[in-house]
Amino acid sequence: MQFVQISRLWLPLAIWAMASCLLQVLLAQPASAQAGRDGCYFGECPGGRPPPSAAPKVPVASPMPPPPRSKAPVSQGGGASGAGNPSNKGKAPHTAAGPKIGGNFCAVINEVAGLVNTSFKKITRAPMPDKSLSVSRSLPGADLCGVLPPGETKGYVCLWQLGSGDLKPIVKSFVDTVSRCFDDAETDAVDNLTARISATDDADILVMADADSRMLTLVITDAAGDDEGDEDSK
Amino acid sequence: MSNPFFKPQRRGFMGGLVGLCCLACGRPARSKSSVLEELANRGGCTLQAGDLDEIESAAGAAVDYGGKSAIPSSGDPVLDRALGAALVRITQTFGERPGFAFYDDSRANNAYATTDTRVDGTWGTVLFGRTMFWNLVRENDDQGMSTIAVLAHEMGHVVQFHRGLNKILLKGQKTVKRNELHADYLSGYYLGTLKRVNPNISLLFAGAMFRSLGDMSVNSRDHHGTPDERIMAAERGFTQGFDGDTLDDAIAQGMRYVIATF
Repeated sequence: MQFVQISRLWLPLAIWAMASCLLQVLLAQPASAQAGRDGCYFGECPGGRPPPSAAPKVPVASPMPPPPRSKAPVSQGGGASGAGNPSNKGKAPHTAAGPKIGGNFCAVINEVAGLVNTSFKKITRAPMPDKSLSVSRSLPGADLCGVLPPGETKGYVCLWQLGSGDLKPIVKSFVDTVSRCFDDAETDAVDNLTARISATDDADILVMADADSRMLTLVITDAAGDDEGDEDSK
Repeated sequence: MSNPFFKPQRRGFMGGLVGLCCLACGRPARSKSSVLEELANRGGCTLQAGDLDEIESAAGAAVDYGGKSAIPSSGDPVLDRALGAALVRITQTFGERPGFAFYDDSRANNAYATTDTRVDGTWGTVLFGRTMFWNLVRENDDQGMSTIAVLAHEMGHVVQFHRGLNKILLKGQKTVKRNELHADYLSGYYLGTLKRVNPNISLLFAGAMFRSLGDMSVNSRDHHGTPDERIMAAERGFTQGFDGDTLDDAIAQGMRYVIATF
């Protein structure tokens, strides 16, 4: 049992190392391609704040009446309070410092969590060549998402570049938001900046923040595979 | 249910729906084959010649052909009417009249455009995944602007096909990225024209959607552009639409942009 707990502590570190390597690949984009990074699109910013100077000069939108709600064919996690939470329709999609979370965040994270164990190929568009990332479903609001390279832990990773502010409450709020996407999520805080969420029987979710890079990483891994690793370490 | 789609001042284009709707007459339900899964795995949003036949054969009853009202069905009559009106406005702006239908995208949310034609008087077909459609309608409080952005993207592909632009865009390319970003550009253009008419519509969710549709499979033939590239292309098109430029200008400027940049 002791080995199991130790291995669970090491897993975040191992995945964090992988995610850090992936980060360098993922962030190798043109410096000019920053559209939407501040949450502003088409000359409009969350909360009605002024758009950047480069954006078209258009009037700030007034609040829209909510659309009708129909019964959904796709499952969605429960709602909760908090900035950017999927239940907060029509509100600003993110805070200045916290991670951006798009409208169908819970639907996507549920989909990925459901696929990670059984048929991970379904969330990829094509066979993955080494060191390249392939994913068809990105978590709305995430700066970058990708699939961990083959040969390593089977998983799906998304990254958010965070603004200023204390990371601990950001991590806690984010973990709470993710947990509310699942009916029976169990959260195990590894430390203040790392938390593990047992989302379903099939998938584990790790949330990690790095103080230096101010990067928040979410990794969804195959829970069954993780257990196998635990057994190997015994 | 109220109309979730943005309505401009003009109304009553129902006559234009005649050429917009059904793919074909109803077919008996058949068991789904691996075709849909293959298409889902293939990703992308343009179908090759003959793909529509395969989708119809594989999906059977999963493809909605509308009904007596000749409006494609989202499963909700009010939404159907709103979507029909939105489709008419889009077709008028783009000067194209493709057929339209939903299809079962439960395996992988997507929408498609194809040169295959199923309805007399139309040219090409746009297929909208029903799951994707409902996700967009449900999740975004934006008067259907995210849904309209997807439709406009697919309509951009129809414009490319009809004018032979896709061949120019794809010449010498290893991926379909230029095609996709040009369609994003045209979708952004259309959103700009809407914003010009009604400044109160909110495009925040539509913008976030463009980013979320990006991918990092830069070596895959099906690479559609990174998240940043996709929203950048849409933003540029938006500027032209908002400034009141003509469609032809937007098409040409979009071509220059994606060819020079990517």
